[in-house]
Amino acid sequence: MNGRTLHDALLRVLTDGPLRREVLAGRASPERGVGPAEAEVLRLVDCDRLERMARFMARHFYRERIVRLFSGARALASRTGRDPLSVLEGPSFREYLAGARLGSPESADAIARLVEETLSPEEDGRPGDLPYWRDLVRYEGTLFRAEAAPRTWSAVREPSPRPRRSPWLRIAEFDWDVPAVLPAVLRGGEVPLSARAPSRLFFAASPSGKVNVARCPDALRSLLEALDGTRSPEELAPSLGVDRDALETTLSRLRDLGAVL
Amino acid sequence: MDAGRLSIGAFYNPHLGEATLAAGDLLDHLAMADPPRAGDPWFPRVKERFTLLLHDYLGQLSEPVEGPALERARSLLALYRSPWAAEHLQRVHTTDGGRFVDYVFPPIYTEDLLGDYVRNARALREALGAPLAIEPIPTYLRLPVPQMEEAEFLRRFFGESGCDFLIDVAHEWLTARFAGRSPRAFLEELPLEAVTEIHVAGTVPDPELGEPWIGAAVPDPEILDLAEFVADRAPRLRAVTFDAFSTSLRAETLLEGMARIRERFGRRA
Repeated sequence: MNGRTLHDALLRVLTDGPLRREVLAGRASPERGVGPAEAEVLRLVDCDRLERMARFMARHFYRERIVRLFSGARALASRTGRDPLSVLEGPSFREYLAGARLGSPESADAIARLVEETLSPEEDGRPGDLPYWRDLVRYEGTLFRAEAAPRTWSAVREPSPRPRRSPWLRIAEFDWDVPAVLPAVLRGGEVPLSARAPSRLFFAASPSGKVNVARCPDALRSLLEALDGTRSPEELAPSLGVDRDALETTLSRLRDLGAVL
Repeated sequence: MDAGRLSIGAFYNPHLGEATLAAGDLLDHLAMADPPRAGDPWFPRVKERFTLLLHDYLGQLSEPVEGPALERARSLLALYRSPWAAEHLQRVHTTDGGRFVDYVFPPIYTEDLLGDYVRNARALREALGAPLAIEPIPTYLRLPVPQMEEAEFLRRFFGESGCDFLIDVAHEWLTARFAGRSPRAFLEELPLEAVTEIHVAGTVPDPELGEPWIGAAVPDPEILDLAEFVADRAPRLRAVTFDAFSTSLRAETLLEGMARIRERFGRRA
């Protein structure tokens, strides 16, 4: 054990509620990155402070994401009377923090649900005169969930020779063209009538953690569905009826966006 | 920024861009914690009007900063024409990157991590070709293992890496408080001769810690007293910055905080 392995173990227990309970109960978990020596030290830490620090980190983690990813709903808070950040004050959120696994899809989904319940408590989920509200909330909830993908901190992620769509990729359809709605909402302006148009979008997190949204027409959806990790671009191009160079260019862009591995 | 003159400033909060520009001579510089957003209507004038200091997340220095992260740091340094770069003495993700907290968190002050931080900070400073100021993080949770005191770790780190000390007085006040120590005695042990920038922050009660933590608030007199205490012992001091970076920061708080800092440090500027 050295400082690095111990600090790694500390970060793991701070960010993973179930693991923290196991380690504090006296069970090392080498397969999850907490060896016996590190577990022994962590068991001697002031438990109350460890739990408090874990909840503190979880609160910051999700607060930052609610601010960033529910920005449209936040911008409308004074009009709707529903602020996504109010979820932070609720007992459900606080209870959830102790068991959260930061960055995991499960915890992102649980927190997104709490926010969505706060924003759309009524049956129609549409406050006042905002016909796009339901789509806006669903769009931002999808952003929130898509963000919970693995992060690459410094090194470049090597592309797979047999490209496959990211397992964290999400495709969603909306009655409104939300990418046209959102800028108007953030400016505090009126949403143009032209934004009342169906849209299909994909949501993916790039290796740096940025969530990207792009339109997903039929041809792109077919391409993404074909990327199952079993065929090289050379093999894929003829079956898709596209030029190989053009396919490589598209794949490169999709990798940058985090849609393809 | 004049080399012989103390610069007084704050963080750039884009939602307060208009108020920041209207603040006139209250601000000499702005620390940039995030790159400017595309379409930020205030940034072009902000860039023209103020000295900008790079204080973004460049990378955790227990690992090398290289590849895209290094290119990003170089590009931001050039964009801001920042006289130095700043980074936290923090460890926010595991070695394999699989787990992360996404918020400042201190390392353990052990010999092996000191070696890593010294090596990687020196490499980053050299790669950027600019001074690199490093800001320690409050320690709330101390692990029961042999490790250096923060003061010893910092003294050796700054001595061996050639980096400068960016001291956040509220951070050190919190560390002292959590350890049950006198803040002034704690500060006296730190290598204040290496300080080139002071951060001054307000604190607010934190619902999870049950203790104060950094918040979007006006610095209280005790923190300002301690900032002056540090400044008196920092011959290389070049800047004092109101550390408030939050979407919940209000213009009145920014202006009042700056006014209080100006009251204390204006005669040195």
